[in-house]
Amino acid sequence: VTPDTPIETYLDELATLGAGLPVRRLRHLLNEAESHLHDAADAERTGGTDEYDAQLRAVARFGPARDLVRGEQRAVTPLRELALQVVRSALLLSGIAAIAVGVSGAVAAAVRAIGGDGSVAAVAPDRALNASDCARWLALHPHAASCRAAAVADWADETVYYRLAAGVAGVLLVTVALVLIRRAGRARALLDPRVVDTIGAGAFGAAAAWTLGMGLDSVAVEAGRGSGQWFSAAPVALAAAAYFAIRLVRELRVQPVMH
Amino acid sequence: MKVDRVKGHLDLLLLGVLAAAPGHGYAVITALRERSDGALDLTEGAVYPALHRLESAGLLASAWEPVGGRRRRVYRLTAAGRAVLAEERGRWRALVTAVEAVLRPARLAAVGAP
Repeated sequence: VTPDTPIETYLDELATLGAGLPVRRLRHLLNEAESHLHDAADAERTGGTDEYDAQLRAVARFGPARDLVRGEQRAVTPLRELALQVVRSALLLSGIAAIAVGVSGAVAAAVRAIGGDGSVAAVAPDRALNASDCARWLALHPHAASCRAAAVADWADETVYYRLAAGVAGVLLVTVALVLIRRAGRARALLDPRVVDTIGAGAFGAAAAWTLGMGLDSVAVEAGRGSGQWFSAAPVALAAAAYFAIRLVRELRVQPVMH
Repeated sequence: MKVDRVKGHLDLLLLGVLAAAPGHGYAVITALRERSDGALDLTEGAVYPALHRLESAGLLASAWEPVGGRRRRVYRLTAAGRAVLAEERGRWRALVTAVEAVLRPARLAAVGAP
């Protein structure tokens, strides 16, 4: 049997000491160490050193296997940092989503100003309205001609003002997220931008599809009564989805390879 | 140069080397040595945990590729890596400028002057 070379002996030691590492990480480390050591030994040999000594020198320059394994153990992504990135990214995305809801509230307010309460809220014709609700709605909207009209006005208020309130909360959330991002260092504060942009494009895309679908449904089923509540949200969600999708496409452009 | 002195700046150095062109570990350590005129002669194995850590942090991406007849893991900067490099470069320059201003001989003489 041919005796092990210095490089083989080193790799055996590395495999033994690194047994506690995740398998994939250890496999990569062994493959990379082997390529590196042979490159280094080749370089030593071109200087006139014989094969055995060249390998010994390559191993010495590479450093003790124990140090390498310790370094590798520390290189496993710290969970705390990952958790903080998730929190900051979630805060930022939720804030942006809430601002988008606020913008849709402003659009709904504009639609309401043009088309009246019935353009952004509707009460199904077959829905029974009880007396105590009617009293409350009419108290809030004394100029309404009927309980049904007062209910529509109240729901139109909710459509606009709840969304605007969500927008204000969104501004606060984004402000908090930006402060945290600034403290953490802008480039390392968030998850991989490809992940953030995929979530953003997916979530807003789904929201756009849902609100558009509901709007079309209200046109088909309820003759468009209150469809403004959906059509005021769909374009905002679509614009946000497009923004994140464009960012994602830019991120995915691969840097050219040079050797 | 002692490894300990470089350790705190190893991430910046690796990102700086890989910003020029994607490369495998041996090419990175060779580039570090050559670009520093031999001043940065590190324990070669130390570069791998650092590359893996930067990859886990999303600053590098890697893939196995045949280079020079061997299968090697080639690392390249991600967009996040380029952003971190730009930030860290700025911080490093600010630090160097500040330290140089303090160590400048004229300033030392002025402090000691009556």
